[in-house]
Amino acid sequence: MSVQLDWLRAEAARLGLALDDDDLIAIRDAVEKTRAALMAVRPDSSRWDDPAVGFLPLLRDPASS
Amino acid sequence: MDADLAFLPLTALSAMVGGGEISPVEIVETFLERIERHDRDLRCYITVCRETAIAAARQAERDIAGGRRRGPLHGLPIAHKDISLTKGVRTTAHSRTLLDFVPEYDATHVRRLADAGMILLGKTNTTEFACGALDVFGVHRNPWDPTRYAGGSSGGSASALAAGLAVVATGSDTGGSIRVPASFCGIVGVKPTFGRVSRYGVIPLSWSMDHVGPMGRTTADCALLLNAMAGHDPIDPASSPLPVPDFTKGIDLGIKGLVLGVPRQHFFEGLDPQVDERVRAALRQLEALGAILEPVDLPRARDVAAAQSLVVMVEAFGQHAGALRRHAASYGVRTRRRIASGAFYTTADYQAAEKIRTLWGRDLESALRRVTALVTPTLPFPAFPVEVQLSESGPPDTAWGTRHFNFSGHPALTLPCGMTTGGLPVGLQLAGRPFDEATLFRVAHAYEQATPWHTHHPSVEVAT
Repeated sequence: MSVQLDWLRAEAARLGLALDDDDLIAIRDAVEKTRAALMAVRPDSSRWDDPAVGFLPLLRDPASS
Repeated sequence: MDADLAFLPLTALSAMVGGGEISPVEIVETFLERIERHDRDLRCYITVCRETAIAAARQAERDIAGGRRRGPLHGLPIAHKDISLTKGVRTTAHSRTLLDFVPEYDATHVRRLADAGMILLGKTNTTEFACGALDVFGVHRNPWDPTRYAGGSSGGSASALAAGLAVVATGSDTGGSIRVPASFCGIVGVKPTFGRVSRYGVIPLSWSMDHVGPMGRTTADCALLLNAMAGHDPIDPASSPLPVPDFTKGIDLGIKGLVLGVPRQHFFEGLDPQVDERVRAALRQLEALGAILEPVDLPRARDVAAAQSLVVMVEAFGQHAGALRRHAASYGVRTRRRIASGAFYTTADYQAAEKIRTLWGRDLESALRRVTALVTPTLPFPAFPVEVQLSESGPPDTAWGTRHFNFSGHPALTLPCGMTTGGLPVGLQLAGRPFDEATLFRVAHAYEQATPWHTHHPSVEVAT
């Protein structure tokens, strides 16, 4: 799933970010690499027994377990 | 003589101050002189608070002599990472965007340590916003070999401690930024449980993974420091209301019968042979001290890297979006690109990453029901040359074994467990149950008492 440079340019403009093509190429490479690594461990979008998504701060006192 | 004093633990200096054997002024002047002599080469400090530190030491001297000692930290110096706000003292985060920023208030942990009587020695070097470039104030170097990197991002604090330019310091840790430099520099660094120490007044990178913690040359010093730093802070919405124990109590109970988990997956894979050998020797030492080592399965440990870094970058962009819009060109190139990358992930990417996070947290919780703590290497390799850190392709993955506990929020610490034949420190990581930092201190202290590594110091006198 490649990231198109034109899309990055348009999105950067929409967000008001002054990023040049060198920046955007580096960002494209990083996003593609991270996304590929993520897909390698999580190829499908969802599974029936998935837990609820979202980080909840730990609140449990170990003495209570 | 000054070197002898500079490498004493905080606990020893505290006892000496309490017993009237030494004045806070003598201690502070010793460190200021050493900073003057060695910091030009090591670049541990961005700002040194010479005049205010001496004035505060004189005041502490008068207070203590007058019977108004506030506690064990009174009159002792501390260095704070330069992303912690310090009232009236420039706080740059190593960024051109904040060169003249002088905060009007202290971060909560800074204020708590000041209230305990600690004296601000200076602000330590960091990568820009704890995540990127080192363009403005130079690279903090490793005192064991100044051609090598001290580690990031709390590398100024770690280098200062190893070189005897500070007695204790604070740092922040989003993926390993306390533990990585602590391991590279051969000192102790603690990432407490998420919520244990307030992040209020610490320039944020990732709201759900930023942690603030103590750094020192001994476990007991870090425990003493955490006592003063920890505790509920209503201004930080992530701050835990749980009570804070005295972390120095029970530290010397030993570890006989304690069950420690050794992960089968990821953490012991692909290690530098010398790191592997030193860490396995440390495991044998823990066994000799009475711990029971048990292999644990944590297969998802291999899956964490991309998910954790994605969430950090998305949160970092959320934090920096406004500033990036206003002055992107003032950010260092590496910082700008890393943080801006967070704008270009999709919600599907983010959701997948958060699912991995939840599953990893469950795995960890399950493992920590069977064992009291986990033992791993902190890093798979020792400190690398500064050129590698600055190279266009970037350094190797230093958060390789540390980011897991930022992702989940569990407490973790590193302590030195040996030296390579090239004279570089190797770190051992302990990770524990939520809010059970006390057990980590207990294990680390027992190991420390049985080994010499915390007493080894680099020869900065020769190196500089």
